[in-house]
Formats: sequence, structure tokens, C-alpha cells
Amino acid sequence: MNRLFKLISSILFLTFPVFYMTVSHASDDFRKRAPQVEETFTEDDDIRAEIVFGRELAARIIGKYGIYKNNDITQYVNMLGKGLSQYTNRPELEFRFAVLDTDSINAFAAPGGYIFITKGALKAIEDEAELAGVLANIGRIIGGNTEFLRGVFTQMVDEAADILFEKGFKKQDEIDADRIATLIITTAGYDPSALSRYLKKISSDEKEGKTIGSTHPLFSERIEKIDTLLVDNNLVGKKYEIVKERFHENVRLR
Amino acid sequence: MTKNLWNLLNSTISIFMLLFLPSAVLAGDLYVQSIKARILSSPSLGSRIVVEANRGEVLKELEKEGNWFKVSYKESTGWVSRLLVGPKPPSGKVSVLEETEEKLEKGSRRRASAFATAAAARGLAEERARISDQLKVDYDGLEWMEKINISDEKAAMFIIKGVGK
Repeated sequence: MNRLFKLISSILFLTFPVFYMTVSHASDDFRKRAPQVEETFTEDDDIRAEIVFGRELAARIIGKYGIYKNNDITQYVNMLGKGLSQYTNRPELEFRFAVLDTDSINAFAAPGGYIFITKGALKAIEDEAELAGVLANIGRIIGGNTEFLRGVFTQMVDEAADILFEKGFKKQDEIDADRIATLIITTAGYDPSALSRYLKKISSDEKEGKTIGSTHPLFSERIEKIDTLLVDNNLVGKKYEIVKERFHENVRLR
Repeated sequence: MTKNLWNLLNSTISIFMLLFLPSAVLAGDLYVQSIKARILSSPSLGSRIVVEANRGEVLKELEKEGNWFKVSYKESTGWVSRLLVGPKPPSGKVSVLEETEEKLEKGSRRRASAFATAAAARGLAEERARISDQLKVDYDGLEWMEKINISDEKAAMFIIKGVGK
């Protein structure tokens, strides 16, 4: 029983796999929000269970979209993503990044450190700071913003995939993830407004009819929250790095 | 059936305990988990950097405010983001890939077995049944992704070089 509890609790804390660009407002009554807690992932067994769960979900994400096997771009995305992961409290995870072979604009994070960005999102990005903002999706699995997924009790990976592909996450979880991503990139030294800039851009792309994920994003509210965070933290109007040249040297998709 | 209900009830109670217990934990030592952790003059990202601590170093927690800890470090006092610290020393990498490489074959046997590896370790072999074939899976793509190997140090240097700090 104790073991069952430990597995379930670790999965609950870790399963915030997810839609990044999309906002969920799934209204299922069974999904309740948990308060923020200081979770710790210090037992190796729990971490292994997280990784095994994340691998299964990652295999389904790749199964749905296909992986874009471009060595140079994947190396670059991993170098940046892994570098950002150094500014988190999950040193025990081997973060891995890959590009999904679809023009739809989206990104996903599975537990255990498996992070994905679509080719469509890469095409929309204009500098390394923006890419950092999207990859800082790792915030999903480090941040402690938890959505209480009772479905996970019974459906496990399939339920997580359903949330990832169909239902989306709750609005507050998207907002928390944006906040964490912004904190990560700022700490690493990138332009704190990069994620906000990116969301503004793809929200206008959406108006032009481009595909943005499959759930219903509420970009305006997310952007407003990030911008408020920037003001509250006195991060507006200062000069920060966007690292445009290195991005374009490494990502040539257009 | 009764056993399942009992399991669910117990798990639910345990999870609620888990959710609320941490608030009762006393303030104490915090270990830097990130490569570096800036200790700032106020709980605000844009505030002045007082000092920087390195991964593994201990900070004394003085108080907590939202997502920030007020800490003392060496002779200094300031605020650190809770995303950069943890209550235990940072650990080395944890991996499941070695065991799957050794014991398992490709395809569906691997899928079932990979999950069983962790599940069995936790007395949870019955959970295997919950992984279904509803969705297409691509383990070759996953393995391609997992072959990329970049050290923490190299990646950290890449960022530093990029942002010029």
C-alpha cells in the first residue's frame, strides 16, 4: 500500500505533461487544483518511476507527430535546453529535447525530462531568448504547479496523453508554467520578455489562421500575466540578451 | 473491487496528507540545486545581486515569502527563488536506460517491461495493465532522442557564452 501511494503521489506531482502554447480550460469536475507545495524528488525509486512514466508519454508524443531527425538543430536545442535546466532544482534529471515533425505550433513536456518543440514553433521563433522561453517548458516538471488529475489513478499514460493532446491544462497551470519559464530564462541571463514576445507573435499568427495546437489558447490573459510579472519584478526597460545571431546560425528552417 | 476502493481511499488520504504536511516542516538548511543561485536584495528578480552561491552549497532559511526564501549565506543575507534550491543535497543523475538496455528488447515487449521495471520495484506489477495500445508509440524515435549526450558543464558554458556572462 505504501508503495502504491508513493507511486501515485510521485506521478501526481510529476505529471504535468502538457500543452505549452495552449491553454486549457477543461472544466471537468473531477480535476481539482492542488495548492502549491514544496515537492521533493529525492528518492531514486520515485525518480525512476517518473522517468519510466515520462518515457511512455514521450513515445506517444513522438508516435503522434514524428520526430524531426535533424542532428544539427537537435544538438542546438539540446544544448540550450540542457543549459537552461542548470538553472532549476532538478539536477538529478537528464533533460532531453527533440523537435517534432509538424508545422503546428506547439511544445510539450513529459515527466522525467522529455521536452518537445514543434518545427512550426521553431519557424515562428526569431531569437534564442524566445526559444529559451519555450524550452523553459521544463518548468512544467520542476515548478510544483500541480493539477490534481484523478484520471491518472485509473488511466495512467493514456489519461496523461489525453490531457496533452485533447483536453489541455487548466488556465492557472498555464499561467504558473509561464511564470516559471520566465524566471528560468531571466536567471539564465536571457531577455525576460522573450516568452511574452513569442506568445504575442503566435497569437497574431493564430488570427491569420495558422495552426496553434489543438485546444483553445487564451493568449491575451497569459501575456498580461507575464507582463505584470515583469513589471512587478522590475524587469522592464533594461537591456537583456536575445542572442539572435546564434539562433539563426543553428536553426535554418525557412 | 472492495480492495480497489480501499486502495483508492487510502491513496487519496495519503495524498492529502502529502499535500498539507510540507507546510509543517520547519525552516532549516536549503541546498543550492542549480549551477548557481543568485541571492538578491529583495524577493524580486530585478533586484540587486547580493552574492552568488554554487550548486551544493548550503543556505540557511530565515523566512519564506511566496516563491522566495529569505536566506543567510556566509556573511550575507538575501532572497533566493525556491526554484533553485531544495531541502537535500543535489543528487547525481538518475537513469532507467541502462536497465532497459540490458534486460529488454525493442517494441512492445520493451514497452511493457520498461514500465514493469519501475512498477515491480515498487510492488506495482499490476499497473502494467494500465498501459494500453490506444495511441501510436514510437520507441525508435525516442531512442534517437536519448542518444544525444551533452554534459551539464558543456551546456552551462553554452548559455554563458551566449548571454555573455
